[in-house]
Amino acid sequence: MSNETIFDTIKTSILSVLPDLDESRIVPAASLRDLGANSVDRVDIVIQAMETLNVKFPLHELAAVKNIQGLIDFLREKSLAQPRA
Amino acid sequence: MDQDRAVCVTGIGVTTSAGRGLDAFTQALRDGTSGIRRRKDAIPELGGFLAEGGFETELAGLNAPPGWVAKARNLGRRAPRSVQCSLLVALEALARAGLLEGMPGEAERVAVIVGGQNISAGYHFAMFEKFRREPSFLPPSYGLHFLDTDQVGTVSELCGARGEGSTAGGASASGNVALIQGARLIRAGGADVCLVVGAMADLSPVEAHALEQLGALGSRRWREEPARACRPFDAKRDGFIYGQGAACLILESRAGAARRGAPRYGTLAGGAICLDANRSSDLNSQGAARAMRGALQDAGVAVDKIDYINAHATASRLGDGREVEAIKDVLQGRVGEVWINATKELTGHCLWAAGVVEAAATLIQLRGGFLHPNPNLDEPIDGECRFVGPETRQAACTTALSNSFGFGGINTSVVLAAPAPF
Repeated sequence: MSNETIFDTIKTSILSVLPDLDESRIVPAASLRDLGANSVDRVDIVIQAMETLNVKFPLHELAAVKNIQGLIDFLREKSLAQPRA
Repeated sequence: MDQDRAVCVTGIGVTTSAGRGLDAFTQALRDGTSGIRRRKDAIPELGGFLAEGGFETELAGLNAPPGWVAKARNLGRRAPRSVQCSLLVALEALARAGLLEGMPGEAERVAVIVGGQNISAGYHFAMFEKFRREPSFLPPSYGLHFLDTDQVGTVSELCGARGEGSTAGGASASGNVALIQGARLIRAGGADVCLVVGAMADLSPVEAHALEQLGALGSRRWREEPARACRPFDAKRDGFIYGQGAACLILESRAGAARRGAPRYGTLAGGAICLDANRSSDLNSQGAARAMRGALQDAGVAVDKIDYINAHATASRLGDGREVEAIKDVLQGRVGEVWINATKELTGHCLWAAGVVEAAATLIQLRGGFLHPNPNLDEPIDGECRFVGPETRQAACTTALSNSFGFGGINTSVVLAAPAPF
């Protein structure tokens, strides 16, 4: 799974939760909080991305993730570690 | 009418299968248009269904400033359908009440009461299915939305309310229970403005199936002719038809409404709730009569002032007859003088919202000088009651009772009156 695919998936999830957001603000260095996502929005965005990518993990493991780049790395790592169906 | 106890209705918002928005709903009442359709893939098959995905379209159609529409859209976009309906009717009611320009006083004096319980069962059902497939992908926001009180929080955020707030449950009488609690709050001086919302009952296939098995739900007989299926007070009735709908009434004190020159949609003069010591679904005519008498007493209105009754009349085999007995008991010698119709024939039974939807329908008719028809009333079950029947009538009624009776013996009635000078 490429970084680009993961980034595009995250972007789609963000825009479905925050449809009025200017798309150009969604860059790897941005944090979901900076983009205006509240605590419920943030977990909904992550779960949507997990579902699209079919990656599963407990949400508390995300505690150390600081921005979208961190989320991309985390999702890629989890997808590699996960047995394929 | 006891003017000190009467509460002003200064705004109405409504959405039903028969008409979405106050103007369309008014027209549907005038024309006797039924919103009941058949959806072969749905449980139940017959119902007054709201169009799927109509939230944003309907929001855009409201006469509200773009900032308000955007706020409601953002609050509702990912919310359960019933919450979306509450946002729509609350925004319409606020707009019509002239409250989008600002509340008359402090936000701490604005209250929200939402009538209903088990409101979003259809949404829960969808989440259960999602959970069964894969728990990891359940949207965390379900943790907020599974609560009925999510409705209260959402509507309060829309209008900036910081006063009292809660849901009011009373089965099919929930709407009237909410109206009565709202009126008491205003009378007691606990709020200046109270938004009373009747929440859209989003049944899941499970509840619908259980109601069907219970024999409460019609109609096998009229499956091919959906508009003829719901037949309150008709000899060929065979159970209630589910309706999706929501409504919001804005309540204010007479003094408060007068001070700001608020629009006048009518008066909520009083109401009553009484139990039957009976957990079943069977309506008890004595309990129904006590509710009507209690409402009249609470409102300070003599029975001879009543000229119209918006009946509960779900088209159930047992219940409609029991309501007729109760009405006759209350009206006594006036039974042939008081008009009776049943809005559920057009909208279906809006369950938790029914009391508020029908209070809206009652005020629209009192204000408009007409009474909506019941086109399916071919063979009335009683020869003495003055049913409006199949044709719309021009009638200058001024004071009405609106009944709602719930499973578990929860009987309610409210007294509504045409707009009067402050």
